[in-house]
Amino acid sequence: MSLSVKEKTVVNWVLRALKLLICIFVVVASISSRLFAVVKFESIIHEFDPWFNFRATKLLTETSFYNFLNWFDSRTWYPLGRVTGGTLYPGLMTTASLIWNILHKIGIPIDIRNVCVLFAPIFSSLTAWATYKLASDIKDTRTGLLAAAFIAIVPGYISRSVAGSYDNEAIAITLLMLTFMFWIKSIKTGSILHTIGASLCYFYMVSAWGGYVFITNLIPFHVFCLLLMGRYSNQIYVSYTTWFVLGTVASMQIPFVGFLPIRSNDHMSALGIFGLLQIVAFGNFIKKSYSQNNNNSNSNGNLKKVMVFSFLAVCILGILLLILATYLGLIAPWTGRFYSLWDTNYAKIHIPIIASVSEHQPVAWPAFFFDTHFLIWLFPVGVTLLFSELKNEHVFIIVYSVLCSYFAGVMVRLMLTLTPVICIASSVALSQLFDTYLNFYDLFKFWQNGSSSRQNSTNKDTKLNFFKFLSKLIVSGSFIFYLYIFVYHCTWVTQNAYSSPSVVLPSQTPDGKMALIDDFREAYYWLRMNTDEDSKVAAWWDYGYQIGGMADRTTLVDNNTWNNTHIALVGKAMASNEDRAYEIFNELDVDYVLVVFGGLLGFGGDDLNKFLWMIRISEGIWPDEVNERSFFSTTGEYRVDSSATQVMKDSIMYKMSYHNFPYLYGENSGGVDHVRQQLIKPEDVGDLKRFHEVFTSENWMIRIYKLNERDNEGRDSEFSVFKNKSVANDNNSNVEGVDGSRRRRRRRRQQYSLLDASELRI
Amino acid sequence: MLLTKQSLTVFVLLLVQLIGTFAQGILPSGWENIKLTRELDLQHTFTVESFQLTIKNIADKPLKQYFIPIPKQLRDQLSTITASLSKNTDALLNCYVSDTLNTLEDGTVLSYGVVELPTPLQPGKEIDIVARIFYNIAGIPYPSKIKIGEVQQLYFSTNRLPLSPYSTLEGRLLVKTKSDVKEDNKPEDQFLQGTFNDDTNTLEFGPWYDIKPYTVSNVDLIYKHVPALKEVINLQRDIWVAHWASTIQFEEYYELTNKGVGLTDGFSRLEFMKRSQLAQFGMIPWIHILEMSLPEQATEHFCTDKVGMVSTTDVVGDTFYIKPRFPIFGGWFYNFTIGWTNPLNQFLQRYENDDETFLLTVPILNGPQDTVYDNVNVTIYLPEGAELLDAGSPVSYKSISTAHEHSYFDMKEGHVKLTFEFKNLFTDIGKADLLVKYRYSKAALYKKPLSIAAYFFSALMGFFVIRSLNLSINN
Amino acid sequence: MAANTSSANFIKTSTNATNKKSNSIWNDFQDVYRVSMKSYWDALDKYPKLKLIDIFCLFLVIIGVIQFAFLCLIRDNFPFNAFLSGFIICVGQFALLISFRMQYLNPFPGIPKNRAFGEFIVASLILHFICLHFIN
Repeated sequence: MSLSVKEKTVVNWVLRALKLLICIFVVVASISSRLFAVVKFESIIHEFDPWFNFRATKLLTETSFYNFLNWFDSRTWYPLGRVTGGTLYPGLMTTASLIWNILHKIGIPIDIRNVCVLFAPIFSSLTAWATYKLASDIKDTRTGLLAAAFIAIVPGYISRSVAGSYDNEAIAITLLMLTFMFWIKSIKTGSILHTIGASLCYFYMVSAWGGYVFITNLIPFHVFCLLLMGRYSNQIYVSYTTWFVLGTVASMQIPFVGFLPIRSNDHMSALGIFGLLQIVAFGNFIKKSYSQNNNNSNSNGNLKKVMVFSFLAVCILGILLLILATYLGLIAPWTGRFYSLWDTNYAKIHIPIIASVSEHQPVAWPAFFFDTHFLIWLFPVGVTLLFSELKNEHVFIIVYSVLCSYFAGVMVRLMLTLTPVICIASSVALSQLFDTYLNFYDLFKFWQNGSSSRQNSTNKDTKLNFFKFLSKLIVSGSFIFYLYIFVYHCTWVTQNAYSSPSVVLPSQTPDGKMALIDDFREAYYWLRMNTDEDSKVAAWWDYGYQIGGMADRTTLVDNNTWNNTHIALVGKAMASNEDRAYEIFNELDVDYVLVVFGGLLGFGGDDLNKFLWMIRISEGIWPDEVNERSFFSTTGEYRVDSSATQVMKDSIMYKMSYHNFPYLYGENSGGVDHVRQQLIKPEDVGDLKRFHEVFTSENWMIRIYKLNERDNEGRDSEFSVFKNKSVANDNNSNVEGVDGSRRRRRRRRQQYSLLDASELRI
Repeated sequence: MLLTKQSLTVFVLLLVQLIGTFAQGILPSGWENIKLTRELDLQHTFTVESFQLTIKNIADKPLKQYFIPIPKQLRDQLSTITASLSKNTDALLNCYVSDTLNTLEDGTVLSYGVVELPTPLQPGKEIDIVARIFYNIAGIPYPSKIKIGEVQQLYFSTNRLPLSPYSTLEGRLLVKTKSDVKEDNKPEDQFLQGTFNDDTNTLEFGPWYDIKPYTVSNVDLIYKHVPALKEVINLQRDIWVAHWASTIQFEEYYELTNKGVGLTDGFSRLEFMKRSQLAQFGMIPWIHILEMSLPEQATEHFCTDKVGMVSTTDVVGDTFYIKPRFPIFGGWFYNFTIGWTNPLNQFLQRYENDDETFLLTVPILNGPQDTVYDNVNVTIYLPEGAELLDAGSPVSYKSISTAHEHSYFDMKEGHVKLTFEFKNLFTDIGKADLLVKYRYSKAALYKKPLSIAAYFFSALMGFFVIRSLNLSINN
Repeated sequence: MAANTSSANFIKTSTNATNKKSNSIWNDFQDVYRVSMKSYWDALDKYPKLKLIDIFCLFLVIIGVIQFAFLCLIRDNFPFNAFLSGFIICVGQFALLISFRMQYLNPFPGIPKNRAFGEFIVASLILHFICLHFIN
């Protein structure tokens, strides 16, 4: 059956239209499924890091780019401050503010918050497009469309890209896919133009996410594998060297990256492969010109000998150089996060602060299924299928999947980089499957034949065809059913697990309506409205970005954990008794202390549950003053009720969390902590003498305490005394007290500024 | 300037000119108060001082202006003065604040409110007038801090005897409060003391006879006042007129505070929860729920603040209930934004003979009950291409200005922006309407979607051109 | 013929070490060197433009070496980014040039010589722009 030219063009047009339609549907699906967060809750920035990004973006829209890069943030890490402009990846903020500016230019004066909230969904649709292109290059457009559809709705990617999740990863995955797309194209064609695309995307990626190191290592690794497989070609040389040169020099433009690409060991493999490729290219050149002029086999043997010899010599020289450079300190030592990639226990032993981050925990096995559903078992199938063909680009996918599977097992957040390759590999498997099993061409042919010449076909043929048809139907039917379940699962997971802003907690009223537990914002807003603009708020670092973003107050520590000692200091204060804590906080100029307490509501992520990390981190710095063991009861348990140790009960974390709590249910009955399921009795919780409660949110989740002022002689005015003064006296003494303490603070600040300088220099 | 005052105001409720142009530097004289009853209404967040006067011209020429003293420190808090003849309370007299200052012997500095009679009164004649002065103040908390659950008391200091530039034959003072009022530092003199009337919650003083002009005497009042003292420091009220959607959108940004009593020892949630049932009866000195009375048929309500949406809101009928994130105790602040949408024809009239000229009447305020406002900016956004003809306000304003503002899909000069700036308003005065007359031609109406379409088309064309350019380089 | 020179150094160093052990390897090297030089001169005759490219290559290598030598000589790398961008521009341009040279000699499928040249120009422009930006 042949088609006429006209019919062929019609078919082509229909195919193109269908492709376009599917692409549009994929884009719509990828955006709309991420809008659950806005529909269910509101247009709000999620979680912790996005709040910082949002704050930085707002600053960028208000000032110039130059000011932004030179931004010294004195409202965080008090009293040290943070050289924010030089220690962040500006890609995300720059993109958002660029979009904002363009929209304003074309007459859409949208709020910057809405740009930030919708940023991730928009870029996820771009990711889908890039994945489509990438997968199309791996196999064919059918694979591409499947992969795009998968990546559009797969929960593993949605988890970090719902509306409001304005994080570096939101843009980084898009750039990752774009870089790979260009890389595969340039490997296939050898076109410098595609390589330029790859290196520009790489540059963009470097500017957006610390995870760019993954690309920096994956592409050289791919080239290395190809070289080992003896697949050297001029295309590889062209694309790799161009990418490396342009990408490296471009990545050095980012202030935070700076000279890392030539100093840090993380980047050495790329440099090494660059050198290796030069040698191989030269060898190849020699070989070619040699074999062009000499045709006897004997001299070919000579050539081989020469090659092997010089290769060995160069290798030895290279390794010696690397060792020498590391030894001389020309190359930065391997970073802790890098070690923890290889050895999961490394962090736990050496750097508690890295281990304490929930993102850095290894993935629980069910999470793989939860995040990717049936793709997780199609994934190995796809990889195996790629093995059977093993083109250059297939090697890339294989290398990518092997590396990423390992890393994702180490760190939860690297699940994100694994997800795209799972989508691609399983779409390869699925499209291969559909190519064979969804092909009912035979059947149509049979019918057509049957109607025209039924007499000719034998009975046996019909039967055979019937069973073939049945098997095809069953296989493809079941996979279509799986796809249906997959879509259902994705929607369900997105809706229920990944759309919560975590600033707001969903709950239900007794009559079944959805209600929000909004304690975080309640307390942050209280801070913003009712405290002095320069107040310093001490809280555990998890809440630093949120306090900066929502309460707009100065914090001591935040989620950018650049100074472990400072964090440990706050941890130490929290673990100390009242007097000691008061001294520490006073030295740090703290006005308010904020603790998160989930005992009334049963909110598990509260400070008492994180308390052990605070103790561990501060014990790492001051082993004499803080001792983890002393916080465990005699039976070695972490108790908060009557059997808690005295050290535990004396710590201000304990006192602040449970202040007044036992009285909530009556005078003497005590209150049950719903997180730890233990009974807190009134006599367990000591009175606060140097702090007083200034605010507690509706469900007691956030409790804010203020340090009592000292009087002029430096003694602390007892709070009870303070209370009993008459109105007039009270006012006077307050004024004096404030003045006195201001003076002292100024002095102390000077001392601190000296200290800063030295500390920063170190 | 096209914004000549009250040239368009169809009916003027009352008018106060902050700076009198007539009575500059003239010291008041020539009247005699036959009877003066001063009533101080302390039931609200604002204070109403009303005078029931019987006055007689004792000069030898006809007089038109009657002066009511206003202590200088209260002048900045003055909201408005109204006056009328007792026999016809509907017809309001012209009133304004004179900028004459008069320093008395004891150092009190007085300013004056001036009431202008419709016609000059002949010598020897008497007339009855009623004057009211609204102040944007209330008593100050006494003591300034209490514990949760204690009752808020306010302190208010004022003149006991009638203070007038004229001599008074018979004078009285009535102080009206919500529940209970007593005098602090009572004088020995029985004659000066007041008696409390349980039925009307009024403390009655006097009558006193033959009081000299400028008699200064003080009375300190302490009274229980349970509800919070809501004060809006700044209100930015934006009103967007959309002809295409045929809607009018309101958006208001409030900076709210409670002038009432503060807390002695911080906020204890435990104590607060123990007394939460009080809130149901409104027996609380903190702001628990704000009741916004919106225009009828309002839809699409929202309430946000600087950290996002406030989910604890409810709409019942025309009232928008907002529970702030935290209870607002004395001295605490809360900034928030609310908004809603109404059908346009509710506020917009078309002139009968002219298709393209419109008259917009919008209320000045839609805020919570019993609230005072320090600064209010009402901004009205007319569609792009509209021509402002006239604007007026029944309440005196500090300034009025026009500008342009770019909004969604404004490609040219943007929306026409008309801003009224008010000072010292309170809830009841906000019921008055602002009037804006403008022309919006059919051409401008249809130009908008066409220009948007053209703009999209050119963007698409540009995209295609770029695409084909790229290809040509590749080949 | 820069690639040749620089790598020849490597070959020589390794050769010196093993010279005494086996003389045959040395001969092999000589043989290979001779043959490839011959084919190289042949290619030069065939494509006259190749001479231009190779002279540019050599020039870049010389400049790069001079910069490095200067760095070693003054024993200070104070405006490090200036040095780095100068050095990288040499290395990068060299790599790009070799890439173009490969395509010039035997063009890749789907990319004619002219287009390869255009792409080379674009890449060089980008490289120079970034390096200029980096040099401050």
